[in-house]
Amino acid sequence: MTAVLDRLKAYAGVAPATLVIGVFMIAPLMIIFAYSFLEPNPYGGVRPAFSTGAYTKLFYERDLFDEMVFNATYLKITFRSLWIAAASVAACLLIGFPVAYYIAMQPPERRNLLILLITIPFWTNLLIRTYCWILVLRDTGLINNALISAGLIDRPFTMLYTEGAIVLGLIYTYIPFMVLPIYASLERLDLRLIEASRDLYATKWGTLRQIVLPLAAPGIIAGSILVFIPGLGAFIAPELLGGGKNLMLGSLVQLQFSSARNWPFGSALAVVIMAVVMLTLMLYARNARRNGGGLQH
Amino acid sequence: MSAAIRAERLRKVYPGSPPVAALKSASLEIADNEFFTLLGPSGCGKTTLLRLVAGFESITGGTLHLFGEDIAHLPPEKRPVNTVFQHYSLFPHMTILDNVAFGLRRLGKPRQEAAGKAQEMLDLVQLRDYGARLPNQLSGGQQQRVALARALAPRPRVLLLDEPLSALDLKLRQSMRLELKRLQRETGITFVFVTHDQDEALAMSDRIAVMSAGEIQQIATPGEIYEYPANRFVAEFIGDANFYQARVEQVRDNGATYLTPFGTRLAGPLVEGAEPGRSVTVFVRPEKVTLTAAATEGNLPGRVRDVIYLGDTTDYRITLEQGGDITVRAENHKDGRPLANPGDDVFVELDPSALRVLKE
Amino acid sequence: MKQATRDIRILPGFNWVTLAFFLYLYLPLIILVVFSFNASRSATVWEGFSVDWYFKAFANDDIRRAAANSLIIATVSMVASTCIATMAALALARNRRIRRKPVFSGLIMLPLMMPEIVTAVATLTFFAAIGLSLGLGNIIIAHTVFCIPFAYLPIRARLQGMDESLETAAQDLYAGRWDTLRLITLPLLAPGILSGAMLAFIISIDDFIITLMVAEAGSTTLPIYIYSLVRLGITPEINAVSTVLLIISILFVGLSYRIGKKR
Repeated sequence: MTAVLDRLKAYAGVAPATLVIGVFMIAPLMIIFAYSFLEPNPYGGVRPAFSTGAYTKLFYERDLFDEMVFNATYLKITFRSLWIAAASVAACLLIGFPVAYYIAMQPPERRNLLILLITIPFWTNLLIRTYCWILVLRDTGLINNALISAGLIDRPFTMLYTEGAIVLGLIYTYIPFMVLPIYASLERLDLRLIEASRDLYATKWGTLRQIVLPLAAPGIIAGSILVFIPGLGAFIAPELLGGGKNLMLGSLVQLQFSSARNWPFGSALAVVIMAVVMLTLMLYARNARRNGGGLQH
Repeated sequence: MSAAIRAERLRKVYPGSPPVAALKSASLEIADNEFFTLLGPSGCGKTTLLRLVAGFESITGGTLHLFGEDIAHLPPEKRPVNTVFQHYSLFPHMTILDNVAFGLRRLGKPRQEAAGKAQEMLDLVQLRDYGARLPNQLSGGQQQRVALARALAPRPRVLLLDEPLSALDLKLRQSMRLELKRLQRETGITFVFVTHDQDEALAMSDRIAVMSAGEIQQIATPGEIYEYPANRFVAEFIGDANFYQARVEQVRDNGATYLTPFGTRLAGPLVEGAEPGRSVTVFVRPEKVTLTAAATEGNLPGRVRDVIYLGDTTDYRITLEQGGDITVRAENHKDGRPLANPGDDVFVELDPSALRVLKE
Repeated sequence: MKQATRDIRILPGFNWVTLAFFLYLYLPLIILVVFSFNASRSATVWEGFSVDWYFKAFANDDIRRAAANSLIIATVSMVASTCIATMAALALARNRRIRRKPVFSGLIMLPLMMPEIVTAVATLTFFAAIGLSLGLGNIIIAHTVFCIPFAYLPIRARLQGMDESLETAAQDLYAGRWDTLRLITLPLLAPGILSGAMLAFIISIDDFIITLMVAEAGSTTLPIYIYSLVRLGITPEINAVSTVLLIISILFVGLSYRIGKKR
């Protein structure tokens, strides 16, 4: 009896965290999973009847003759979300790697300052940061005003409410997630390895490819995941910069729980997002385990 | 045949506030096929000099030639010079064989050929069966040998070694000394070896450059450095010495005579600015002085203050009756008994030829 | 000399990318702040200096109510999540009797790994299912859960950097477990706890999606209010409110950085 009590006391420290996250995170995710197999209630919520309708709705719709026909709308949105998230990852990597490398090669005090400078916008309100881009990108925004007054164009060049604008917003939001892990892995990189490589006849770029990139791979992979996951479910950038025309999964989910009142379909979409996230994390974990031995030191 | 390396007034200043002159002005010439050592305490500029030759740092002033070619502006990959790094710096994500083949591959050798050559190098450093392993699966001594094989594989014209043995334990260090010397003889490559360990330098080098505070103090063979150090720094850094002030008695064309504090006369080389009556520094190595119980003419009486047992020898610190101290290093009796104990009255036998005059 | 300060690690062009990156990062924020002082209604054409928009924003009852809600929610969530995170971090770092630690630390990280929209709808569904309707309370619960990993990370980092032998030394000097915690561990851990708390506060006060889904009528927070303004049309009033929020965020981050660096 005392042994059991003792064991319970040992876990007292983690109990509140486990309880709170268990009740208010795990349980809700399980309910979402359950709801995705129920029927929608037109006034919001669900009707307790089993149905796979939410999942078939992803691919099919009922036409005028009440027959199931293939419907690409939601698949398109899904692929657009995947594409936009992937494009953001690629762009963040292209910009983030040189930045992380440059910072890692600076003297320590300047490094810390530059890293702080990266994190400051990161902690400012996401809405506000995205709103700033509206001011810059819209037809009467700064870029168009500047281009018109410089006489380079005579009609505004449409930038806002495009997929490009969404990607731009996502890069802006998530690039610290790319720079910081890459920086962390580059900072730990033994700089003498660069010297050794140059000494053994590798050029600047050869050294980057042969030595620096392979050794920064854990940071690059972690950064890519950290940009990809929130990019996939992004809501603010597509809403504000995509103007509702270029719907993404995040907005679609939100729509099902608000105006569309189709909770099971919204839940199914959330489950799809979760599945992609889990898959990504599992690939990452497997990769980390495989490379763990060689790259830890 | 021009020298393997010729540096003239080579200078390196690291920017900053204040700027640090790591190498003030170094001129030296290293012959082809030579085992040349840069010896000095940490911060003396020896590693900076090595890094300038390798191309890891840009030179601030002076010239640097490799086999007659000006290499000052060449990046490291354009210099036929390879480096063995102090902490090995093996590429952790590549196998041992890939590490050793790295330079050959970058020089454009086909994969097969590079792998074959790399395997030969591994044979040479006695790591035949380790090619498929990763660096972190090897011991420190093995990693050091891989680093050596990797740097030798492209057959550089000059091999630079930056304190390669300092991370190894004593026994391993001693066996690696022999191995390095053997490799240098077998390959015929010029070795430039950086160390702060005088024993290492004396044991392996053809010539040694002793450095201090960003400047070269003396370049000579190990024997010359030990017997005829150029100045007090060199005399103190290599081996131990007793220093005394002597007085110039007479100046001649090719030398001078000096009056030692022991009442003896000493003929020696001309010291800069020497004129009768001026004071100069003379020194004697403790092993060149002997301890005796006989009060023969010329022997100096004194009393033993400290006895420091060193295993094969013992150091006796003696306070001389005439004033001043002297340290005598003597071999122990066969049965291990010390020659004298603290407090004993003894005599010190000092052969005048063992005293040397320092030029600076 | 051609390349007086050649550093072989430097790659050409990377400095320009970095410069462009920082411009990209800060230009929008600078524009935002500058136009909050614009005299005209235009949010992009400069027509003279004025602080009118700040007075208008402060006089706006809706904004004041939203700001008050945001402050209450952020403060309560900060305290709750920091307490939970501190306990968990201490237990996972120091209690050797806990098994399967990776499971617990994974659980704590879960809110960080989920896309926010999923957390948002899941929490909404859950509250609807159990019929929970506590007004601001609903938002506070949701924020507390979401803030736990953010509070946890700096505390854990601090604990990992702490010399455990100090605690052993205290125990050697006859301090009991609780005395050691009170006199040694917590004071040393304080900077980590403080920066964790600040991060939790910022995360809560900036949160939008979860609040949007979970908030009931009357529980409008500042970000929700800003969102409604942005959708309705742009006035420099938003710039003024945003600038104030920006300054608060910078203040908090700067402070937490300073505290984290000290000692």
